[in-house]
Amino acid sequence: MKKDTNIENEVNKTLNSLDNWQKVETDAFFYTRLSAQLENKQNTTTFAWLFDTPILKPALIAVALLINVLSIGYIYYGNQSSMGNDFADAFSTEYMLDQSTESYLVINE
Amino acid sequence: MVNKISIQKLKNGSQAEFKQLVEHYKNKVVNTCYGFVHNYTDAQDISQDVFIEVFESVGRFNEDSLLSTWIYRIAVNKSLDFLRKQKRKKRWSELTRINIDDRNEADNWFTDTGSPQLSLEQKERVKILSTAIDSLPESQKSAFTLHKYEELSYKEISEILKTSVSSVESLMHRAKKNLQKKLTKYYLTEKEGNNASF
Repeated sequence: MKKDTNIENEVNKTLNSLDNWQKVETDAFFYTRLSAQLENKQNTTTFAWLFDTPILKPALIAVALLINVLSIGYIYYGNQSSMGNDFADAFSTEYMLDQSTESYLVINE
Repeated sequence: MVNKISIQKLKNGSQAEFKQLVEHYKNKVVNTCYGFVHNYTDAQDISQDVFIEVFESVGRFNEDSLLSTWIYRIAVNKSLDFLRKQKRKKRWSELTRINIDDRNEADNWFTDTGSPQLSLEQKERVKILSTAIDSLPESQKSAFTLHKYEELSYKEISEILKTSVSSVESLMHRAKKNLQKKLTKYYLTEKEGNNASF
């Protein structure tokens, strides 16, 4: 099979395109930005030990889980007790057990 | 040249010594990172991360290799991490059909800094080659990039990638073969008038 020399040339030219590569250089403020970043990092790591200490990690996770469980419990039981009230209200209305009904019965007598 | 004494000073947290190290290696690091990510701004950001890592972990540097080898290794790993994250982001954006960061990456160094005196044709060729390099497996990409962009010898590359010289030779051979195949396919598709991609 005859090779397509034109394509072969293109491929070789592209493969060799990096031969005259002029190296990339940093900008003038590279070190200034770097030292600012390092300074920021050092300031923010004041409390980082709290999360980096291996013993404290499970404790923090446990506290977070406890807060979640308590929140879910509070929401669930809070809703259930309000549901109970709703049911009692509906029951008293259905069987005319509220005060307005009582007064109506008295008038009828 | 950074000698053994300065490594000791670095380990003791000397800011002056660290500044000297940054000044000595910053261009090598940014050029290496650029070879991987083909974007000037990203290459600068990754280089900053490289030096932060050097500053923070120089205490653990056990001097079993040259300092330059160790710094190059960090630069390669950070660049590959960046590319992996970018790939994940791209996949996610394809899933959610949101276009993120659709930049003309290989152009940035030429257009942003306007520094290298390359012809338009040459720029186009570098851009095509960069995209082809991106599609190579990580090990081939690392060897090819370090050799082509930083002009490092196979021995230096083998120390950075923690492998043998013969492995680097094999990686380079496979990288060149793969690039040849990809570029041939690319130009054939273009010749047929179709939209060529890698």
